[in-house]
Amino acid sequence: MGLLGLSLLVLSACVSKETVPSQSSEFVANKEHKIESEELKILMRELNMVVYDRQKSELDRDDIRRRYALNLADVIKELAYKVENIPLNATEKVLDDQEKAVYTRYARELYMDGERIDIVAQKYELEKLDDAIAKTERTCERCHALFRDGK
Amino acid sequence: MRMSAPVFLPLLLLSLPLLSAQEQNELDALKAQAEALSQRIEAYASTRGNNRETDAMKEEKARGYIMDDAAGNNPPMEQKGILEMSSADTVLSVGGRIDMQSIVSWPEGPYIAGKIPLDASGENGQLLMSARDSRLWVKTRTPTEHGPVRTLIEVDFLGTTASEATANSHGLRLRHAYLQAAGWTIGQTNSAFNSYVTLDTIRYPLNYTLVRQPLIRYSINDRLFGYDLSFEQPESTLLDKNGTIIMPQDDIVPDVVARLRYYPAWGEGSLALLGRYITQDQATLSDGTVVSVSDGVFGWGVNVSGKIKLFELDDIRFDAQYGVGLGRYVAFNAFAAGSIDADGGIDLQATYGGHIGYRHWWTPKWRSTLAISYAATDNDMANIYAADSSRVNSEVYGSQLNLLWIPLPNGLVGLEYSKGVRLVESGDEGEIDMVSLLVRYDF
Repeated sequence: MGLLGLSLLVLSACVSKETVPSQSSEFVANKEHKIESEELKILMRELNMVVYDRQKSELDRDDIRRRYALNLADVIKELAYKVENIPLNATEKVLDDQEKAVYTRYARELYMDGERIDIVAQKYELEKLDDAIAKTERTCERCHALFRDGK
Repeated sequence: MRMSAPVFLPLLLLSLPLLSAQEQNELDALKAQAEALSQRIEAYASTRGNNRETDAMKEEKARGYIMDDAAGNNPPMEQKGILEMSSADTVLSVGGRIDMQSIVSWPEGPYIAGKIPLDASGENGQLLMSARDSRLWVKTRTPTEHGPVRTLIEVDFLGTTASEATANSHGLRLRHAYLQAAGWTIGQTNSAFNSYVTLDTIRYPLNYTLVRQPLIRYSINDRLFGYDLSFEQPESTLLDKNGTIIMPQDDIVPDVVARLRYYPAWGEGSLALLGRYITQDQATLSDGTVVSVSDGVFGWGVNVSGKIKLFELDDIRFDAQYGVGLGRYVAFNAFAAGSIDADGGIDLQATYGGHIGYRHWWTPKWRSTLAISYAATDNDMANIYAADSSRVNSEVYGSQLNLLWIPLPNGLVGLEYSKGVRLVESGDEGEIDMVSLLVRYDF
């Protein structure tokens, strides 16, 4: 699946409103989460558009992709931090201890996904970028499946 | 009554039923099978005995190989289909572009500043189809203690032109050949003076800053800024009395470019400063005349380019250049850096230009750019023969409008209309209208 396809999946995972399984508590997405989602959307699109930049050598394009990937990592880590620290009074229902533990685990996993993208970009290992982004997508989807508002 | 054994046994044997013919046949068949099986067993035993010796020899040989391997005496194992790299950690990547363009222009000619046909020489164009802008690149990345060493070689097929009547076997042309390591860029690649932000068009704008040349560049990058200091191949271009741009090839000082790149949230931008030493040493003019003295003059230039993001995904892109002695860095060498008089004295000239384009996204896959471009220079016509003034470009301007479609990731299909005008010092003017159809795929 091309990078464009992966990016669209990430976008849909972070923006779409999925039905929450009935056995999970309802949880309202924080507004700031959506801000980061928009930033992610723009960064992913710009990553996909690098190939069309004129008058750039392939190493120049790698430099541009690396720059976008570093920004992407920053946004993901910031999103993970905010998600983990959403105050309880911002939610409609309070999570029980077990749900809180699962939720926190996903937030920290998202942070590690951002770290992974950061490391890949720092080392110029851009051939690994697709996989790193795909891993982030899976983390988003799993968390959304359990805690996303189903409106 | 009791019988004696000598009597009993014969009577017993006689009492046994005799074998029928069928049973005898079956017995004979079984005997034959047993005989054949026995022969096979003997034959197997015979060969096994021979192989037993070969296995022993093989075992001895294997033991010998092991000992030789341990001693490092064996040559490397040869295998087919292995790609050998100088380092086991090197990542090798191969890619390129398939680019097919179909062009119709009125009159026939390129959409390049200094080559737009003048009215007097133009004729109606023909359909031109070309895959020559297809590219192939090979890049490597090798981790080292100083960071990754990256290399790139990229070629296209805009080299020697072959006949279009038969095989269209156009020649390779070098685009890039350089390495990057620890901030250093060494080899042939884009000049640091080129506009960093470019228009999203099929044809280059008429003022385009496009120079690829050998250079040594050092760069420092952080999240918001990038800094480049580049020493690049010098090449002076001078307009002689016959209205011809000559290249004396007497340069001894590299062109120096300092560039600042900026990556804010609202877009990106660059500012490049160029310094050069334009020189000639008893140059030969286009009519064969050799000037008597040498001369050299310092020239300079500045280039600003940028992209400003607007609502949704739209953006505005622009660049602007100005300099004295800019010459070949602007408008594809349509203008000289200066002029050379009959005595060899150099007089640099001001050159300026710019372009601006608006890119609009109709849908996530369809987009358009509307752009205009302009470039001009202040030729010193005092040293030019009036009869040759039609050779001397003074001004160019143009416009472009396109519709581009992304049918699949890394693919592009586009249609573009371009109009260009070229003015020369004699007062003549040439125009070109061009329609380009592009199909491209980057792999």
